[in-house]
Amino acid sequence: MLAQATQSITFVPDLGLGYHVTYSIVVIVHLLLAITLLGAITHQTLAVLWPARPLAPAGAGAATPSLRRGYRGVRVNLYTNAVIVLYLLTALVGTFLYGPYRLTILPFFYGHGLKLFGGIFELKEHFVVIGLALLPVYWLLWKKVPLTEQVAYRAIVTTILAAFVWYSFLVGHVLNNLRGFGT
Amino acid sequence: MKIDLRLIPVFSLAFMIGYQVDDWLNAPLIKYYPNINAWSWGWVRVPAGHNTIGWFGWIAWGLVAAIVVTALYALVPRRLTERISWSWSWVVPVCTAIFALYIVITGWWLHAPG
Repeated sequence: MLAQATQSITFVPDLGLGYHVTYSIVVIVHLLLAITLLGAITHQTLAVLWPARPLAPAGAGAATPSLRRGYRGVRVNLYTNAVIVLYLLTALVGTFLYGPYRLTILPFFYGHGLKLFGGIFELKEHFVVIGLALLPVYWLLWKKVPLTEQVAYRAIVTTILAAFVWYSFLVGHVLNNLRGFGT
Repeated sequence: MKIDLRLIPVFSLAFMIGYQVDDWLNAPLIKYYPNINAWSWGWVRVPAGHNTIGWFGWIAWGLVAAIVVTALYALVPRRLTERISWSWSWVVPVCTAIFALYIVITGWWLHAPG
């Protein structure tokens, strides 16, 4: 059976409409999950890198906090479990897309002198796994260590995770623009 | 079930290092062939020109490495591990990511066909 796997690296199989429609839907689900994850991890990272100072007690004439202060002042430790679940779900859906990507999109890049983008995507898959491995430490720092301890360590780990998520999101977006399913 | 929290950083670091080393060695535990929707063990040889995915197999070896290293670390008496600070360990994902970039540059951009 494996002998049938022999193909040119630029061979793009002609697959039916149902294939492209199915994977277009999966790509959209992947995108929606990724956007939600991006929002949560970005909010958490900004709040931990640039924390808002505590507000003065509300009283007569107290100013309403600005949008910027309100954004940074959210209790972002509450985002932790959501970030972990969204990361796992986004990666899981991405896993279902990886085979079709290798089957129909990567050969297109090879055939059109775009192997640079194959490498950029390869880096994304590595960053996703490093981020996956980092999730237990991320959970430990946000959920089990008091928020007044290990502040720098927590900020750095959150920033690294956010950087991986941003890179993955941007690469996925650009590659889908270059050659999406059904195009 | 109570989780021994001292094992968590060990599991994470062993997972990412195991994964990246296996990627470097290109010795996946399993392989996937999307054009025929088939799986094989990593050591099965297939003809040149195939479309093979080793990523799942690298993750699998990373998990195996993480489980083994964590199990060994769990055997170390707590009094010996209590003083270890893990606050430096953020260096590992950064170094692993840089190493991944090195693998991509040398494996994809310099030597891959296309």
